Amino acid sequence: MSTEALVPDFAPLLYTEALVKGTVRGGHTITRAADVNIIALGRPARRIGPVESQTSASATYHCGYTRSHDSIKQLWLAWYFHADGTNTPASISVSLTITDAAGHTVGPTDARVPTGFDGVAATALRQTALYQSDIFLGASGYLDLDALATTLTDPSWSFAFSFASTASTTVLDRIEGWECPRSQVDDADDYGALTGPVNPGNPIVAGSTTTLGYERIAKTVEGAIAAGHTLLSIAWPTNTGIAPGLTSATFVPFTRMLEGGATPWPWRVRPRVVYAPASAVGEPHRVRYLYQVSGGGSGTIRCTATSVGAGSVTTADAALLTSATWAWSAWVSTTIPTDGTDRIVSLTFTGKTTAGTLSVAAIEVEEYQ
Amino acid sequence: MANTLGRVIRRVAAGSASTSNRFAALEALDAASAQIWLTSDVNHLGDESSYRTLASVPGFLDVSRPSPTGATTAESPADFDWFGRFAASPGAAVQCLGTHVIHRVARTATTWPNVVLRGRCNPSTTMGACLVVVPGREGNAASVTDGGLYTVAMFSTPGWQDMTLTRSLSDESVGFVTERPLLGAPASGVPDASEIVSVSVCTIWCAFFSTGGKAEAVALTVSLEP
Repeated sequence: MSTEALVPDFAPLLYTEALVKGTVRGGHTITRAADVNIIALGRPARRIGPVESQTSASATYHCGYTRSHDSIKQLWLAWYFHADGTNTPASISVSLTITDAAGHTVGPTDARVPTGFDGVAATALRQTALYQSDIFLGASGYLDLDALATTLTDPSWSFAFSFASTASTTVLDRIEGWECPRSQVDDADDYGALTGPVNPGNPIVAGSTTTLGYERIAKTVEGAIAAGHTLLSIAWPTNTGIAPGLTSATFVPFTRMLEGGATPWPWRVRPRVVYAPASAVGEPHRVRYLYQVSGGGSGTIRCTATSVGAGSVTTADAALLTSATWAWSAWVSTTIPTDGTDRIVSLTFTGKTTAGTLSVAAIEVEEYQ
Repeated sequence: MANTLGRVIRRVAAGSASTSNRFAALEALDAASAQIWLTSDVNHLGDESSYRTLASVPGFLDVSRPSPTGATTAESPADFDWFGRFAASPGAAVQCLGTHVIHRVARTATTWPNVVLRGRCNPSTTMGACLVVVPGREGNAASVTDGGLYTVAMFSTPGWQDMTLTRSLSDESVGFVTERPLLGAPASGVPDASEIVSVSVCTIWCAFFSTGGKAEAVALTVSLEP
């Protein structure tokens, strides 16, 4: 195994370096390797939340997460709270349980979960002025994704954060997390092209996907493509009085995700272009929901993607949603248009149920190449 | 953009035995189309890697708190309440949208992307909106006075409408964090140290006020865009 520091500066790559009948040189081979390392390893784009507090009471929020790829090793997590000014400081805690789609679990007291996410109550800091609600860091820490993956063998994970407070004036502000950019390249990983072996004096070789050379650079380009974006990571408390819901037998917007009448909220995002620039079909994505259906109903949630300006539309239905307790739906594949003005696309969500109330407490939309 | 087709060219998987694998052993490695394609692909993926969606939150169904300065036309972050907690009355509308890693634009190393807040709003009378970028991961938007770190806008047309606030970033918009993570919380001893995390970060905030009645500001997304 060999490692190198990841060079963080993107070097210019020019067609003129690659003219037919020109010579392949170590310098431009190195810049290709350095640049693709930056994209595959140095700029991951998967995240958790940030979760916006939606209640002043204790609550549980779920966020879905899938790893960009196995060469991304660490995830940073943090939660923050609003302080109170009473003479009896509140006691607060966050308990993190991570599960995968196969039902494997890593609990809050597991040694892989950082301090401050273990559910242990601590005395909250107090605010500095009587009527001011200062925001303080509750806890932050790093997760070792390889260590978690030994238990969570299914790639679709769910992070359940349970916030508890003894005072309704000491409330959660937010929870957030993101994949950490790598600072080193390791040829033991799936992706990452070492540049040292092509320094002047050494041969430039095809090599292999697991060692060095142009095959390894091409493999790392695949890692750059796999480093897809999280478009939406939204969470409401798992509380049907707060989470959006509906009771209609035909497609309608969810309450609390509704402008009025029949107009659902549009979430405006900008997808990445990989293969399909300015395309009405766009790029492959997938969506899933944390939902429950009361009354024995069978629900369907529809994601509609509309490119702003161009008006290209794609839809994806998550059907046969029957869980009476909070559960993640299966992933539903879709494509998201890339032909919008400034490439902006509007995502809306509607649903229906055969009986009872269909509620949704989390939405995860991610690029899936 | 120069030196890219603006998309990735589909190729056989690296390591494939297919003769379509131009990088395989015994295939010509001299400067040729495969080199040009590689240049194009990496340049394009570099361009794309500079931009992404950072946050997506429900927002506020009740924006009824007035400006703490009594402003009816917002001019700076000081005109907004940055400490209101959820369910405060009258309805406070402030949200930290997270601390995020920010990268320079890949092929224009002196350029940073724009931070764009998008959402939908429904002013009752007039609604003020503010987007603030705080360098690093500490600090509160309330302390920001540098005009290069915030954007304000007023919305005074009744009814649902798009809301977009853009803040261009610069070297002064980010703080640099370098730390060696301690992984997990073992029952005894010191957690394992791991790979150093060295990143440029900023913390993004938004807040809203209403000059009268209950406004709404919902479906908020924050992205890095060109």
